[in-house]
Amino acid sequence: MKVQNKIIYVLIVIFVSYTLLYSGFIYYSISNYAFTDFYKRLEIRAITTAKSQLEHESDVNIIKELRQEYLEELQDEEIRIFPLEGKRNLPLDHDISNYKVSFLEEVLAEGKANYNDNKTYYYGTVYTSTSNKDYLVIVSAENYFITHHILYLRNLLFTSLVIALIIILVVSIMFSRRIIKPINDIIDKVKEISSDNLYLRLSTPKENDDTISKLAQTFNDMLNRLETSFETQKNFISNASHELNTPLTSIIGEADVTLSKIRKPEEYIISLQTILEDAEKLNKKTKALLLLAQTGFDGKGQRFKKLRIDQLILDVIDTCEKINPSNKVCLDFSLLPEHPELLKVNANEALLHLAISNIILNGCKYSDGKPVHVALGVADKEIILIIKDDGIGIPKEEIKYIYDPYFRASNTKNYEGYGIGLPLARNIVKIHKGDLQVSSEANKGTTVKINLAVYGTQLNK
Amino acid sequence: MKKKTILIPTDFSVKSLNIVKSALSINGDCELRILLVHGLELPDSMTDLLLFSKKKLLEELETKEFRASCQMLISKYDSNLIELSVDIFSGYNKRAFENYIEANEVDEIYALADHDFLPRHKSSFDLMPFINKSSTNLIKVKWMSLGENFKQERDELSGIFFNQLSSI
Repeated sequence: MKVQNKIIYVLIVIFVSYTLLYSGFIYYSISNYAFTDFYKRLEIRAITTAKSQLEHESDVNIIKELRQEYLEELQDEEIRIFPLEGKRNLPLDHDISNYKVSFLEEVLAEGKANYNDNKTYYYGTVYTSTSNKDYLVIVSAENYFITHHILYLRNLLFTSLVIALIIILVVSIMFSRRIIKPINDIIDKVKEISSDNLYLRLSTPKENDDTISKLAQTFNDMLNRLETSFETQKNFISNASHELNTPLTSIIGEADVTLSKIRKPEEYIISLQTILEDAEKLNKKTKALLLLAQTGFDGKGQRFKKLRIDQLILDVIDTCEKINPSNKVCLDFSLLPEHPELLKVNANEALLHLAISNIILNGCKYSDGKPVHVALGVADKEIILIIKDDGIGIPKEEIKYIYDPYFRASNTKNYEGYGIGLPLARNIVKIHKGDLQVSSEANKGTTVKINLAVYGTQLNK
Repeated sequence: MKKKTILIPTDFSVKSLNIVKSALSINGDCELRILLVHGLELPDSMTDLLLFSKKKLLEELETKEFRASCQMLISKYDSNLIELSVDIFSGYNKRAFENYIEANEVDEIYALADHDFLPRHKSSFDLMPFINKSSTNLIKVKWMSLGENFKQERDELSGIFFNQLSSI
């Protein structure tokens, strides 16, 4: 069964049973009240009639007046008075056979009793006059309220029940749709995401912290991890193939040209030297790639451990210089905190190494041999890492696309690259619950700021 | 350790915190109480004065980067920085400034040699004229940017890095 239908059924059952109980209670108590009230009215009529017919003149007038003035005639009202011989004996009157025997016996035994057959209500009482004679007084009348008003009430309750049912149906359908909608949205959005567009994320409303947005957030975290691992590999493969291809092409070309005809020994020496140079380059590059591979995923999940960020940065700079000896990196540790605990982060060393080295290498690449500046400081449980270069920068209108994979700014035509480094770095920083910001101006350089939480704390954003 | 109180004029730019950095590195052997002072005329309308709150005003004036830089300085110089506080000076003449210095027992004043004041608030004013005339020991420092191309950022966090003390 669909969850939406389930919600509708449950809601309808709850609301209908509640409404039924409620209207049943109203119906029962109103009719109950109507019965007692009507017998009370009959009682008053019985006593006043008996008094007015059986008592002395002087009292009777007032009662008669009162009765005429304040007690209106009931429908089919009939009052019969039978004189009683003894307390227990039924009067011998043929009219008395109109009444139920059990009712008459109850009247004689208890002093008063009542019963009803469908429309007509009977009330009987034993009246003792001032001259100490007993009379059996029986009043019968039709209960107009029960026959008409209660019927009306019942119809009213039934119609309101039907209306309530319709309202409940509409409300529960709307309610269930509202509840289900965000989940359906998430499902639709997740269906859109495939390995081609892993950079897509679910939208998570910031202000509320309910289960749905937590679900979306969890999906996003999962996508972050997925995307990172995808791109680490893509990054590596594309880097590797390209880097290896260039010297290989030149070796093949050189050898081809040399072999095209018989040459003098000097020429062979020169061309072999060129080939050797290229082969050495190739060797250097494979070594660098090996290094890169070592910093990538080990395929066994991400292991987080406590490590010192300053040590990591020194390692990264070492790697960067190994990859390309012409890279110049200036370190500014002037605001390194006194307390070493403030430099510890909970991080996956390989991943964070990859992220920071990507950013520093980017800086080196786009600043044409000018030094890249790296600074580290700790502010209130927050490690701040600033990487600043003097390079070509990013045009202002393109800065919002820099986190899209494979996006390359318009001024990067002269530089090799694949547009993977920065999104990858950002994802890695996100996995570490950190924050990465890029500010840049075309031709003036780029500043990347990475905020990471000190070990054992959370970054407050 | 000797104790010292140092007054530093600030315009709430990250750049001005470089003076704090130099004051701390020069006085490595002293315990320092550093007072960052900003000149600001108090409002003169009745309602503004009634609702005046220094805390709120300071919160309004301090940028996120300024606060982060202050915290970085505090974590760096944890052992010889006793106190780093930000205050507002709102006197009108030299005498008031002298009184302020005396009241806060200021020993030295540090300021940038190439001081370029930028009013943060519409009623901000430059403290340098008072400082120059003051009888307290004034130390001017000069900072040099490390990058060729870097203009020192006023308000960016990187303003406190990538530069060095070139002369006192």
